[in-house]
Amino acid sequence: MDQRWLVEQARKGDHDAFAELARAAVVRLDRAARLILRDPELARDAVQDGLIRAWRDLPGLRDPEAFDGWLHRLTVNACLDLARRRRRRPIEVELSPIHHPAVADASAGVARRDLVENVLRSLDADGRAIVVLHYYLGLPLTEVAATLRIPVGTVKSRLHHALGEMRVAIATDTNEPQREPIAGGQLA
Amino acid sequence: MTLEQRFERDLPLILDDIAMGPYPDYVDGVLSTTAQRRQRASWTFPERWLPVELTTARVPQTRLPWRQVIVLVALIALLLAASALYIGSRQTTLPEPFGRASNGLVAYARDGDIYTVDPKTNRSTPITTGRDLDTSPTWSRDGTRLAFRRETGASSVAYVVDADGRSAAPVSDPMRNMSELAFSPDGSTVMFTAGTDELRETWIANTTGKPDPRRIDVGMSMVSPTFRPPEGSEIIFANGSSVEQGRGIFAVNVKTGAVRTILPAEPGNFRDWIRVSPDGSHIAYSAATASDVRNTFVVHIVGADGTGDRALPMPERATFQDGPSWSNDSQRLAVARGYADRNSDMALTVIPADGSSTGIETERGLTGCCDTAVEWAPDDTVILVSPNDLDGVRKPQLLWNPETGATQVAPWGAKGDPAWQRTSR
Repeated sequence: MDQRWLVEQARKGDHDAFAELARAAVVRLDRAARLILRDPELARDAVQDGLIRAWRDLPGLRDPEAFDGWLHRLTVNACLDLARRRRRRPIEVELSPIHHPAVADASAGVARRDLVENVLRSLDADGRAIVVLHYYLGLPLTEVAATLRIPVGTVKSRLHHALGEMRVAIATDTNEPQREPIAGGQLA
Repeated sequence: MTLEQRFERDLPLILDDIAMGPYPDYVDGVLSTTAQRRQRASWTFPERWLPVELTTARVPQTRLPWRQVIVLVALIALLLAASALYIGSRQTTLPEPFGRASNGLVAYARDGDIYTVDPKTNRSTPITTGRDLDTSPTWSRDGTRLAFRRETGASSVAYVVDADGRSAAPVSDPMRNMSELAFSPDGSTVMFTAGTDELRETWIANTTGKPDPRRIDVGMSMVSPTFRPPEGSEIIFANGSSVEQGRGIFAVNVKTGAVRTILPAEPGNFRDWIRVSPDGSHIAYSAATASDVRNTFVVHIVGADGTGDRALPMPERATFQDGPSWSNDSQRLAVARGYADRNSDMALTVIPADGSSTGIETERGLTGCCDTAVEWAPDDTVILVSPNDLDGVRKPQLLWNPETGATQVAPWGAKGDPAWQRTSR
């Protein structure tokens, strides 16, 4: 069924339409929240908060085409609210995937996943939110900045930092030689 | 495809793999909750008329009593916020904090007021007016705000103002000998120095909310501090010792206060005018050996990790080079070059950062004394120069073509430190 039609119906108070939209989105929202919060239970709370608020405020959404991005923002902001409320208690719960997809080189894939996961764990919730919004949920940098209410430059620099850490971790692990920068900032 | 490109391509899949878990069975519980709740009527709340970004902003944690007076205050605040968003939306895309960008306005001080001028039309706009003595404007890296000094008797106060002149606000207490105002790369703070020549202090203050100015205490005098791009998590500086004691180059982590040595202080080796390349990889500085009779400065480049220290080449008859300034693409440096022992017979020169040539010079005699401040235009096609005469008196700004060495007086006739706004390409 056409998502735009579902959003328009849900805006008018059709709960069945909203349920369909929620079921279609919940897996992705849950995964995004787990990446940001590093805690499945907190992620569950954040997604619930986001969906409840989405239902409540849906009549105010002017553009039905913007529903996905809007719902992502609600959920990410719910994650960050939860993270800030829990800041006094560090959250470092290991996520234990039940299924791993079959890959050609499973051991290399798992190793790479672990390296990325380690770098993610070293970031704070806001840093993880930037990575998730841009690379997992596909928001452009300007929308990431608008969602988190921070300058685009901050988004870029934090993303640059996080990616740099990941690349270094992977390059080190795979023993790929690091290229030395030469004067002027170009890579040799 | 490079390793980095492959990695960025694969990152969404890696993230998906990390986050994988059981199907979120709580969705039915959520839906039973929402089924019992009413939606907000579309015409009864202000978000109806506000952008989606505003309606998705996080709400305060504490619930306020929902009384009529508070509703009225909230409505006024939201309308003000909407107005601010509308004004802000006129510049929808901000430039990256480093690297090339498009040329915006030039900011300058004249008769105690700050102005901006559009170099294309030569039309000036006052930013601050009135009886206060305002000076030394400098742009934030995203071009949306200016910082400047307001002189109050023997002291100065640092101010931040929007690019259109609105919302001027002090961010420091009055301090003596304030100088070197600069925004952090993300614009959240400004840095400035104050204090005596013997003890230069570096301060940081927030640019929004409570300024909360605090001193960066590294246990030594800090000279020529500059944020290291791109994050600005480090400040690079020289220690403030004399020529005899020697000056080294150091970096302090802004958050932790940890100090690392880039080049150690060595007696008789004096380092000054620290400038970090926009890509953050290298540091240019002026180095001199003790001499009472002649200017001995030579421009050096060293890696940000302290490796590969080397001097930039000079023609045989040149006697010194000083005051390096990086191009936005980190490929070239503008320097002042002397052909006499003292600050006379000087030319301005653009040198490749790799030292492959002695560069392209301007005619001599354009500037004559002291520190000649230069700033590359955001697109690197022209350099804005603030020259001095032999007595150190500021002369009108110059526009310098880095490709040919040709110069002309800037038509807006301003004097003082150059400041060019970055805008999106």
